[in-house]
Parts: sequence; structure tokens; C-alpha cells
Amino acid sequence: MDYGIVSFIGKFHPLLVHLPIGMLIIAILFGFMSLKENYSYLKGANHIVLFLAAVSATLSAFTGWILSQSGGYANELIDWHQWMGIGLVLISWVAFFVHSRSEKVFKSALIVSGLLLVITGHLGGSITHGDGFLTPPPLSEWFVKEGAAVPPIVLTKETLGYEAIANIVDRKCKSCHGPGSQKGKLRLDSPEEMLKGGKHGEVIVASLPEESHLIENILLPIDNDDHMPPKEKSQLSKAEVAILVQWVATGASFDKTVEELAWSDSLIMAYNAATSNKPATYAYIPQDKVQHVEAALVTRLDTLGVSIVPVSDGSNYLNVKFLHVPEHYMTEAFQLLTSINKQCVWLDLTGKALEPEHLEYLGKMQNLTKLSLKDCGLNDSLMSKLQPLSRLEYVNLVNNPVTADGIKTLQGNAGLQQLFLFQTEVQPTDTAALRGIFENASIDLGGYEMPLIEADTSKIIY
Amino acid sequence: MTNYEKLIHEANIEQARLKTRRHFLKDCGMGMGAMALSSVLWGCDTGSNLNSFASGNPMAPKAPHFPGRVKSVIYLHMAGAPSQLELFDYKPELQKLNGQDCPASFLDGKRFAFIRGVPKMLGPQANFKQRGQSGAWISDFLPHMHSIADDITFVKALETDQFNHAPAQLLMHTGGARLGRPSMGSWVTYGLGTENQNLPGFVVLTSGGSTPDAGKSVWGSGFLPSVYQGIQCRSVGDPVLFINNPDNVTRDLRKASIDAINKVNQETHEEFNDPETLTRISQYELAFRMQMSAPEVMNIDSEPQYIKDMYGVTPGKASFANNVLLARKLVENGVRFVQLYDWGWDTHGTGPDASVGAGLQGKCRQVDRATTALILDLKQRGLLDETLVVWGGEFGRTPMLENREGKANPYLGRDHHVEAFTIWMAGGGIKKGFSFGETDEIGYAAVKDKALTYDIQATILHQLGFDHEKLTYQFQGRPFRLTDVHGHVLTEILS
Repeated sequence: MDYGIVSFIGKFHPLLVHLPIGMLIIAILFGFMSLKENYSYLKGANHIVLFLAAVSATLSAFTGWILSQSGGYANELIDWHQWMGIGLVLISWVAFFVHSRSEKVFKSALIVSGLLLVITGHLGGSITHGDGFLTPPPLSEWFVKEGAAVPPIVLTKETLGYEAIANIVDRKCKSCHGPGSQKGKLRLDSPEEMLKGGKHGEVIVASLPEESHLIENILLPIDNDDHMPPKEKSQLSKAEVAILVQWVATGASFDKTVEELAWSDSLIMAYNAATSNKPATYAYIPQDKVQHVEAALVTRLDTLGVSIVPVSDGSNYLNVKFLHVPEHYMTEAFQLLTSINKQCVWLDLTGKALEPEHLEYLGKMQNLTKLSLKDCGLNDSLMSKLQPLSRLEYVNLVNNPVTADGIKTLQGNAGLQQLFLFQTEVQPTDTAALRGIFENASIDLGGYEMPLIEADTSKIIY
Repeated sequence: MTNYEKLIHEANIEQARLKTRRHFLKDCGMGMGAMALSSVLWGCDTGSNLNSFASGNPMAPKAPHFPGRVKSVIYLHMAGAPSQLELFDYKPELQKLNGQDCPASFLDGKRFAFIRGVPKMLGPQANFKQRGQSGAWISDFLPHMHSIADDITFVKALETDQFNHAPAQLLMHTGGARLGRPSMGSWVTYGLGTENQNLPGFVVLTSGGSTPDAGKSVWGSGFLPSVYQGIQCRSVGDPVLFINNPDNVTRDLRKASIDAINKVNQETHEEFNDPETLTRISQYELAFRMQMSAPEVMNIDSEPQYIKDMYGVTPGKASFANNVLLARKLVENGVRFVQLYDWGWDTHGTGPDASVGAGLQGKCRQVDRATTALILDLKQRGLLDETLVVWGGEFGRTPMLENREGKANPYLGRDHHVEAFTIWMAGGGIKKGFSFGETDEIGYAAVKDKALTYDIQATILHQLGFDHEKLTYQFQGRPFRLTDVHGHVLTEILS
């Protein structure tokens, strides 16, 4: 519906509503005050205030009704807001008429109007600012459980292509183009509604993304007024845009799986990587939960020269480095670490001469995924103590007198990815055997040579 | 002065004289109340949760937002901007246009630092071939680098918006083209602290005979506490001067005097609460500790001969190769951020050593071997997995031959160019043998996967474990960050 000048009047609703709010508050305040002897002189003034409040409430309700007819607002919230608002208009008139007649009725009218004012105002706020706008972050987690945050889905070959689209719509479009609010008369929350389009007609032309309004508006530069989602709202990520375009390009189907649509692996991977909230899934961290480490222990280890930092903010897993531990404190440091064996996931012992007893302790740190044993004087017999370790993904054995036999001790570590064996006794001829054992690992024997080439020796004549 | 003016003047003076403390308190009662209230409530302090002096030691190692893929960064900056068109961005089409007038469409509405009028196009001055398994285009100006083609990722459609050296360098390293913002290394040490308390967390080494055009601000700490600023080491002779105690001063005596100074500073800090005093205290302590560790770590002469040969170092002289080897040693010993600047890449064609032909080739020879050795050496030590190496300049160079102020230069050269340049990265979590982004047929502008300098910064912080939008510092009433309001992590180049 477009009434031209009439719908223009509707736009004054958000402005006008503030008048009855203020006046009713004053009227309620003065109303109760004037019941007391000392303030009875307020009564005359309050009569006028009550009248103005009732008039402005009526005007607000009227403009509000016009605004609700202009479209894009049909939902339960609006209904409640509308009826509460009308109730408020009536009760404010009642208050005005009974003001000088019945004190009892007047008092209850004031109380009811106060309650209605709060409810109507809050509902109005919820319509403009979105449901749950007033709930601060810690509370909102308890109150607005559902609907608030839809987690992104992970795409597999079996997922329906439309599932990804519905998920994106839920997260980024539904608040304005869903059952709640229907901006531009467009709903995107079901296949039927999506195909129906909005006030400018269809928004999806199957197989032709460049002719689909949906895609067109999404691809507009962010400063363009028609860009979707609006500038101030949460934007679509590159990967989400790519998926939407691809979905329309492959026929905007509602019942084909990703495999049937023949979406490329790289598209799916990019989408999954971009939407999974975990940045950089880092391989070297176990998934199990472990206990928090006491600060006193960290301080104690720190004084021995052990640097201990959580692998990330809030994680209980530790990155441990024997940076400045003097020789005579080595054993003590290892002893202290035994109580937090499970928490140690990265351990760097570079340059520390390790004794057999140290390796006994080391063998108990079963969650270790990353172990640097550079220049530790390890030989094959010491290496054998590392047998209990099974989660290692990165092992650095640079500059240790170990042979291939010693390395084989690590074969329980199926997930080994990186093995550094520069300056060890491992021979190039051993690598084939080691590669057989550690199938997924890159084995680096180092010793890279850089030939002396002409550019190193000759001068450039300018 | 008329009598009237004299009267006004006198009235003003009198009024000022009559303003007493009582007036101040009365007039400002409201304001003071509000100030007091803001400290009772949580006020405006919505800043970062990284309390920089939580443990009293601003450089204590801290945990990043999520587990970082790398622990350290070595940033090799070729100050002056190397020509991407002679090194990595191969444009055979440009060769065909060599010598022709530049089409007006490339010049309309554009500004260049020196090009005026209509310049001629200039084809690549180096020979290109695809190298390694990945088939990366690397020219014959960098012959050693061919062997690491499969270890690095090129970002080829990089764009900046500053066409002069100093602002462009500032933009690249501080996230803003004007002075006053903290450099990348400062942000990183602010966020992560440093592992080895006996060495600085952020070290700067320069070579090429001059510091970069932007001066020391490119490793400054800006509005961060100055403890986070880059520490420049000397490039000739001892990296750090006066590392030994003077005659007849024992280490105990030195310790006692530093303790006494720090005690006084500590009292000053308790009185005035100025973080800069803490900086001073920690600098004294660092200097004392460095006396023990620096001579050993900073001495590249102690490296075995084959390593020295590999890098091509020239001990005793200032050279990029020396700095690169030192950078490896520093990173190996837990230094967080090593920033190298090599000056002399500004190939305008104004002199024989500033041409994109022989001049650039000469410059390449100074860095080619050492850079390649760095990647290979880090790799064999298992360090490349936990270090990020970045190589690049502050902007690119034009596909046009520079005609300085409309006249021909004596040698072939290219002007500064903002719309396309190449950098490469290698190390933990970065794809190996990959090229990201494309420029058009003549290498003038990005046509696919354009990246901005902020994206490089966001990616570097991401690899260290930071969400670049959350690593902030409260300053002048708002939280600041390295990437300002920009930046996207280049997830496409991450493995």
C-alpha cells in the first residue's frame, strides 16, 4: 500500500511517541504528588498535562497505525505494540476524565497507564532495534537462547546446497527478511517465500546470478544505498557471497546435494574455513580438557629459568621452554613439571644436555605434540626413553648423535608431521626406511648446499 | 590602545585575579563529580584485555588470542621498492609494447612521483623462467632464489595508496601513512612479549648504506609504551656498543649500581605511575642481562665456516648477508620480531646503479644468496615452521619508463607505482609454492585477488595468533589497532 502523503505522516510516529512518554511520566508523578497536601497546587497544571498527554498519545497511535500499514512490519510484536498502544490512549483519556471526579479510579488509571507505557515503549524499541536489544551481553546468553546465534553449518558432499543458503539467510538476512520484519515485502526464510520475491518482483533467476536482484544487491559496493545487508548490519563474508552466487548459478535448486550441484572442492573448503569460527585450526593442540595450572607453580618454574605461557588466551595447555635453566636446576625443573604433565603440549629443550633421568620425566609428558630437542646430546639409548610418547606431531632432533634406529623409537606417533634430522647420524640412505614408518611426515635431513654461481663471484660492470 | 580597550583589559585582569580556588571548586563541582564517577564506574576503559604491565615486566611472554602458527617474524624490507616487473611479475605482453607511448587511459587522473606527460612503456629488463615444481616465475636476477621457489607464497596483486617512500614505508609498517603510530614489531612485542628476557624482543638491522626514508619511525613504538620500540643494532663492528664493563668495574658492582638506579626509578614510578618509568627500569635491566647473552648471540663470527659461506657473509663489514645471518641467530634465541631494511632499491634510472637493468641486478646480488640461505637454513633447523619470513618493498614500479619531469633519464628506470607490487612470504602455516593474486597483462593494476598492505599486516598478526581486530591499545579515547579500520587475513595463502 502506498498512500503517498499519508505514509509520509506515518514516518512521524518515532518522533511523536516521545511526547506522550514524557508527558505521561510527568502526569503520573504530578498526579501522585498532588494527592499530598503540600503539592495540591499541582492539580490544576496536571489537568492540562493529562489532556496534552492524551492528545499526543492519540496522535502517536494514529501515526503508528499508518506506519504499520506501510509494510515490512507484520508480526506478533507489532500486534502487541498496537493493542497496548491503543490501550494506553484509552487509559490516558480515562485518567483525564476522572481526574477531578474520583481519586480512587484516577490512581488506578495512573498505575495502569504507567505499566502500559513501559510495555508499549519496550515493544516499540524491540521493533526498531531488534528483539532483545535491551539485554546486555551476559544476560542475553541466558535469555535469548534460541534464534539469537545460529551457528554456521559445515558443508560436506552430502549437504543440500540449499541448506547452506538457508543457514546464511538465518544468520545474515532473516532479521529483516523473515517472519519478523519483511523489509521490501521480501521474505527469504523458506523456498516458497524466496521464489515469491518482494515488492520489486522476483529476486532469483535460476542459473542467472547476474540477473538475480538478490545477488545484484549483495554485490553492490557497500556504500551504495541498495547494498545488502545494509552497511550497519553484519556483512556477508567473501565465502558466503561465493556460495550464494554459485547456488544461483547452479540452478537455485532446493533439493540437490553439493555433490549433485558439482560445487568445487576449493569453494567448499574456503566456505568451511571462513565460516568456522575457529581461526587457524592449529594441528599441535589436543582436544581434551585439562586443569588450569596454578600461578604459584608457574612462578616457581620461572625462577628456575623455565618460560611457561599458555598456548593461547584462556587455554590451559602450555608452551614450555627451558630457556635459561642452568644445568644444576634441570632435574628440579623436570620434577616440578610432573604435576602438570598433561598440560605441557609444546616443549623446547634446545641446548640443554639431557641426562637419562630427564628423559624418564620426558617420557611421561604424554600430551606433547611439539618437541624441540636441538643440541641436547641425545643418542639412541636416550631416544628409547621417548617411546611412551604417542601424540608428537613436530620433533626437532637437529644436532644430536642419533641414528635411524633411535628415530624408529618414535614410530608410535602416527600423527607425526615434521621430523628434523639435520646434523644427526641419520644417513640419506636411511630416509626411505624412515619414510616407510612415518608416512605422513616430512623428514628433513638438512645439509642444503648452495652452489657458488657466477653471480656470487663476478662483479656487475655498470 | 584606546581608553575603552584599556578598561576591558583591566576588567579582565581583575576578574582573573578574583577567580579563587573556591570559584574553581564551585564552578567545576559538576565536572569533578563526573570525573570521580567515571573512575568508580567502568568508565571509558573498554580497551584491550592485554594488561601490558600485568606482571610488572612489560616484556614477559604472553599468550596470543589463539595458538599461533609461528613464534617469530623476520621481515626483510627492500627499502626503495624493488621492481616486481623485473623479479616476479612476468609480463611478456609488456615486452611487445616496449618503446610505445603509454595509452592515455593509464594516465588519466593518475599521479606519479616523477613521471610527467606521456611516458613510453618499458618491457621487462630481466629474463624469466618458471622455477621449481610450482612453476613460479622468478627472473634470472635472483638465481639462487630459484631453489626456494617451492617454499614460498607470492602475493602479486598488492596495492598501497602512497607513492612516496616515507609515507609508503610507514603505511606498510605502522598501518598509517603519517607519523606517530606503532610499528608492526612494537604491536607484536606488546601483544606477545618476548621469550628470551636477555635479548630485546624487537631488533632492527639496516644495510645498504642508509636508513629507510621514513627514518626510525618505521620501528618506533608510537603511542605504545616505548619499551616496545625496535632496538636498532649497529651493522658494522659490535652490534651493541659498550657491552663490556669498564676496567675495574666488576659485574657485581654493575649490578649494585643498576639496582640502586632502578630503586630510585621504582619509587618515582610509584609516585607518578608513568609507564615510561617502567620502560626505563626494564631497559636498564635488559642492558645488564644483555651483557651476558648478547656477545655470544650477536657474534656471527662464531658460526661455522660452511654457514658463513652459505649466507655469503663478510664479517667486519656492513652487509645484508651479515644481518640475515644475525637475524637467524636472534630468532633461534627467542627474539620475537627481527626487522631488516636494505636500502638502495629505488631504480629510477637516474644513475648506473639505479637502473632497472644492471643496477637492480647488482642490488639483487647483494640479497639473493643470503635470502635463499636464510630460508634453507631455517628449514633445516626446523625453524621455518615457527618463523614467518616476509620479503618485499613499500610499493611497486611502473610498467612505464620513467621520464623524470618529462625528460628522458640517462638509464632505464621505473617510477614509483602504487597499484601493483609483489611481496613474498614463507614459513609456518603459509602455503608452499603458491602465487596469490594477478595483475593485468602489463602489470599495471590488480585484476584478481587484490590485497592491501593492511591485509599483509592482518595475516602476519594472524600467523602469530592474533585477531588483528582485537589487538588494540587505548589511546586518545579510543582503541587503536595496527590495521586501523581495514585488513582481511589472506586465508587463501594459509596452508
